[in-house]
Amino acid sequence: MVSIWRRAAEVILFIVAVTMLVDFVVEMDMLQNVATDLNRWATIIAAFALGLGAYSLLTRHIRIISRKSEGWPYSIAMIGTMTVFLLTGFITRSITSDQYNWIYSTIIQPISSTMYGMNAFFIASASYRAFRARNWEAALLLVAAIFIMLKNAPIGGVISPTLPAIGKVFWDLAGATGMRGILIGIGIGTLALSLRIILAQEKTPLGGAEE
Amino acid sequence: MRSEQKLSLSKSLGRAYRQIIYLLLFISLSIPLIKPIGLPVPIHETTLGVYNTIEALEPGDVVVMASNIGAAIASEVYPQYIAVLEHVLRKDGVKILLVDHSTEAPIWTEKALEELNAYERKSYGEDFVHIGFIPGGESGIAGICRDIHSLIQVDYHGYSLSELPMMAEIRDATDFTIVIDFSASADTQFWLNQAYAPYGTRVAFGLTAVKVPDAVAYYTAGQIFGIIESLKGAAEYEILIKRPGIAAKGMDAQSIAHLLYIGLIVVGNIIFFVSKTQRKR
Repeated sequence: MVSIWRRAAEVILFIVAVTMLVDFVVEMDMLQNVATDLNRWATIIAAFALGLGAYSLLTRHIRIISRKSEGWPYSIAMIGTMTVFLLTGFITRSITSDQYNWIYSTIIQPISSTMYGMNAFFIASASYRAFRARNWEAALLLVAAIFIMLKNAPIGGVISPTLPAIGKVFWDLAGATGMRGILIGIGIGTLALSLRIILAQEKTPLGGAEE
Repeated sequence: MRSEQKLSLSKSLGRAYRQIIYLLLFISLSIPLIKPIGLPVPIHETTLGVYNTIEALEPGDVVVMASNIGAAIASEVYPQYIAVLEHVLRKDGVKILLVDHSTEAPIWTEKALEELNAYERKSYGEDFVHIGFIPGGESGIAGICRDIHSLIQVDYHGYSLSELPMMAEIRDATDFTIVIDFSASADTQFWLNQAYAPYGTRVAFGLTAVKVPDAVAYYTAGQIFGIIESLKGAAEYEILIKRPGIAAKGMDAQSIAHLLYIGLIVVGNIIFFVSKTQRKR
C-alpha cells in the first residue's frame, strides 16, 4: 500500500515539475517568481547535499576503521586528509589561502595530474595489444583512429596536409553524426523518463522501488 | 642451447613489453619537452570560432567564464582557461563574470587571475567579478541564467553583489553576451539547456579531448560558436593571442607520442598477423 507521505511527495513533485515546465513556455510574472524560488531551493538543497555527502563519507570510513575491514588504513588516510583540509579551511577562512594552496598544489595537484597522465601509458600499452584488426569493422576503426590521431597532432599536417583532411572527414561524418544520433537518443530517453517521474510511474526517485 | 637462450630472450621481451613501451613513451615525451622541435601548430576552425567571437566583443559586453577545473583535468583545460582569460582581459571595457561549478574550481580561477595580474590590470567589481562556487549542477546554472541576484547575495570574496558596480547591469542570461564553459563533464550541456535554449545566449566550450566528440555535434549544428579542444586547442589559442605557454610547448611531445601510438598499433598488428599465419600452418 502506498503511504500518504509518498502520495504527498508525488503530488509535490508533479506540481513543481509542471510549474517549471509551464514557466519555460509562458511569460507570467507570478509564475516566474515561483519558479525562481523553486530553483533557488534546489540550489540550496544541493549545497546541503554536499555536507550530507561529507558526513556520509566520514561515517562510512569510521565504520570501516572500527571493524578493521579490508583496506582500513586507507580510510585513516582519507579521514586524516579530510580533517587537515577542513581545519585549514576553517582556520584560514579561505580555500585560496597560502596554507590551503600549499597542501593543494604540493599534494593533491601532483597526485591527480599523475593519475591522469598515466592514461598516456595505458593508451600506449593498449595500442600495442588491444587495437587488432581482427575483422573488417575493427580494421576500419583502426584506420579511422590513426587518421584522427594524425588530425589531432600537429605532426599529421607536417607529414602531409592530406592526412588531417582525411581525419576531419572521419571526425565530421562518422564522429559528429554518430554522436548526434546518440545525443538525440539520450534526449528522447530523458524525456520519457522525466514524464514517467512526473506522472509517478517511476518509483526510484522518491524511494519505494522495493515495495 | 643457443635456441633455448633465444627463446627465453624473446619470451622475456614478450613479457616485458609494457616496460619497453613505457620507456619508449617516456623518452618520446621527454626529449621534445627538454628540446622543443618547433612543429607548426595548425589552427582549427573550432578554436578560431572562440577567438573571432572574443575579438569582435565591444565595450560593455559581458563574458561569462564558467569553470569546472580541478586538479585531474587542469593539465588539459587550465591552459585553455588562462589563454582565453588573457584574451578577454585585453579587451577594453568588456566585463567578465567568473563562475565555478566544482568545489575545486575557485582555486584555479583565483590562480589564473593572479597569474595574469588581473587584480592589478583591471578593477575588481567594475571590470570583473568572481562569483565563486555555485552548487546544484544544472539547477545552479539555471539560477544564474534566471536571476543571479536572487540566487546569490555575495561573491567569492564576500562582497555584496548589489554593491559591485558591474553587477548592477547584469541580472540574467539576456545580459550575458557569451558564455564559455571549461569542463570535462556534463555541465557544458547544462549551459546549452539553460542559457542557449531559453535565452539565446551564445555558448562555447573548452574541453578535455574525451568530451570533444559530444560537443562537435553541437558545433556542426550551429548551436555553439566554438570549441577549444584539449591541450591542442589551448596551444592554438596561445598562438592566436601571441602568448605561447605550456600548451604550445607540449605540442611537440604530443605529436611524437601520437607517432609512437601509431607505430605500436602497426607493430602489434604485424605480430598478430604473423602469429595467426604461423598458427594456421
